[in-house]
Amino acid sequence: MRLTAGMCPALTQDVIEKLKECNIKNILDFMKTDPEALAMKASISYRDLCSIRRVIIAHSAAFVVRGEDLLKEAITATKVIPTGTAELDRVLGGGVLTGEVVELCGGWGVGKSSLCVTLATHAALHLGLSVLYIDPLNSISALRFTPVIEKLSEDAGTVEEALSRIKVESPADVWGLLKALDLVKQPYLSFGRFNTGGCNRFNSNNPSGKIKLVILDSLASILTPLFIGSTKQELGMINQLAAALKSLACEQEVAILVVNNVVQADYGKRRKRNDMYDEWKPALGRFWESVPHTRLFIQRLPNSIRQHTKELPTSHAQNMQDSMTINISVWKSTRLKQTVSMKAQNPEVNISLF
Amino acid sequence: MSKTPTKPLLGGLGCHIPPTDLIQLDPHLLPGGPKPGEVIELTGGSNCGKSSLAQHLIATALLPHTWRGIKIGGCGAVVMLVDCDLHFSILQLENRMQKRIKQCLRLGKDALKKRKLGQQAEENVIVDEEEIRKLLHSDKGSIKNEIISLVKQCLKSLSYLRCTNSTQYAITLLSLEEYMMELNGVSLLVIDSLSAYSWYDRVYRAKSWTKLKDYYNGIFTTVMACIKKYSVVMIATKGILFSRKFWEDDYRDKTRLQTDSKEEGEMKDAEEDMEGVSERELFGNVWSSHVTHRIILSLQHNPTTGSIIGQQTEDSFSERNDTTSSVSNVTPGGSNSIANKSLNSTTSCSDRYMYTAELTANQNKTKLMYAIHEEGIRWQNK
Repeated sequence: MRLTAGMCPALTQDVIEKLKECNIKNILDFMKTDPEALAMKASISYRDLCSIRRVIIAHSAAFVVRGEDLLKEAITATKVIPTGTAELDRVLGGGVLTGEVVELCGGWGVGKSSLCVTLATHAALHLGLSVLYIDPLNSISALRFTPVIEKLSEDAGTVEEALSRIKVESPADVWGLLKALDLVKQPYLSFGRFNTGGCNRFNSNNPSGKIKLVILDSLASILTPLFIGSTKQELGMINQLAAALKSLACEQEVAILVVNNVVQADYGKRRKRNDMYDEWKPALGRFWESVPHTRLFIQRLPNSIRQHTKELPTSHAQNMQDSMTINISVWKSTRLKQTVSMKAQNPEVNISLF
Repeated sequence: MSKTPTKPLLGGLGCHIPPTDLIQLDPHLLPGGPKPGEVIELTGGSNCGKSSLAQHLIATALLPHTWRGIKIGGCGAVVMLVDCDLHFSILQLENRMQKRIKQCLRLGKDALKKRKLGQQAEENVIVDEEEIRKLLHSDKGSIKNEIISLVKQCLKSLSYLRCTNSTQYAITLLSLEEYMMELNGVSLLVIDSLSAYSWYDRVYRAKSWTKLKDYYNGIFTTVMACIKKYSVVMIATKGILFSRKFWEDDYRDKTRLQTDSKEEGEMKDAEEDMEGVSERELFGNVWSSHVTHRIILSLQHNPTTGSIIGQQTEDSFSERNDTTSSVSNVTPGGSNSIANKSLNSTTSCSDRYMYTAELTANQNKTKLMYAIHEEGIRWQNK
């Protein structure tokens, strides 16, 4: 961050020049230097330096919140979004919490996307929430929703209206993704897809346009192109994205669900014999490992593999025809850790998807 | 010098309240307590209980030493928390503190009973017998309300700073002095994850690892000066960013530091002990030279495959919300069933995941085991 004239009345072009002479080029350099020493060295008045400092702090530093106020805010703003599956809710302690980043990881074709579609539909239909579905692979289609919808007992109008609350975005790269995430900051979102007269009327009666749930399908697919360059570049990007996701989650009070792959690589770490989770690890490396609040691992149960191991293990069309059972276990959680004993710490549920 | 800037100077000289003692902070982990100006570093991989331990220490620091004649064992200190990882949940902290008080209340009750029967009661739980009796005579609802308001009172002395990007993180750390003046009497500074933005800084701010160290050195020189000046105890968590191999390769390539084979051999030995924990300091020598206590945490796999005692411990959120089917607000306070559940949970230590904390301070190494419970951390006796 550069020091620019006009940031503060005391920070004139003249002052900037003087600071430059003392080797202070940006805000960080300025903040690192003791104002008293600087005042003598650069012959700028101490008062000016202090007021510049104050302006920088007011603009860029974190804001102090008293624990008491934080609690009040959390009580009013935090919501639990049930997943629609009683077993999964139990494992998650009620559902997905706003302000949290939950990661779903699992191998290919185990039903990660199907689970996401189910969750999105449930949130939009039964909870009346607006959902942002980020789908970089463009894999979401009407076909994907059909089996979920067919099982519903609601009439077509309600379902259509609910689906209109799911906003699908397909960013091509990380920058597109960051831009798509900005949609969450909008206080009200008008959905174009089913924007009929009836819908508008409903929305004006029930202005639930603020997005409460973000589903980010296949994070790895968006970050993989960056692996080609230097690893560091990619890690920097992951870091930035992680900060963006988490700050979005807590500032906008949304729940974020991220889909990740699993890899067998062990990041060069010498593997121990009795590793807890066999060889599977979440993709995207060690840094990302600590980013989500909760990590769920999805496996397909053996009996349902039999149905699907024909030629196309990841075939969407097949997934849709017959329901499948998946097993979800909790790998990591910041929230459930201290309250749940061993058996329940790695709780597992089996749920059926359509 | 003109009149306006003297305000911070005077604030620094005159109005500074000396911070509270943190001797009681954790008698197991830090016997004798951390002294003012000391820096405690918590490191470990993902999901090894760093933040949990930090939260436990925050709760202890915030809670009072005694309450209504019962010893709670807290410090009643003013705490400043810089949250960079954004994993902190105030509801969780509140819940933990409430559970902790309830547990102490229960212990106090038991001790009173024992005393009535003429047995030797645990002296350290009861401070004022009359006070406890008075408290126990009031009905359950009012005790509960009192606990809630006590926790709220304690939370008043917590200052929370949320950093959502690298610049904010750096500037917040650099302006610690201003915060210390504003929030008088801070005795504990907790930074949850120093490493929250290190990759970002490495890629976008520093061209090499050495430059990154310089960058952090610059920041931590200011931070440490402030810690010393205001006699604050600092606790910082630090994630492990990379495995040994990757790190070593990079280190050799980029900095071309001449490491003779002997030194490298030593390094390898040290690292093998810690399972890939890199001992080399990413944050520069300023940081590492100021760290007085280094605590390495790890998750112990499956200590005893003991039997599981029912479903006694559910998550607090489900307790609060199990009747609501739609989106619902989280209400504080918990339910009555918590008390019974915690009673059961005291017996179920063996069913929990065990975490190990390896403390290195003044060249002494100690190893401790702990389990994470609802009310906080429970140290295991060997």
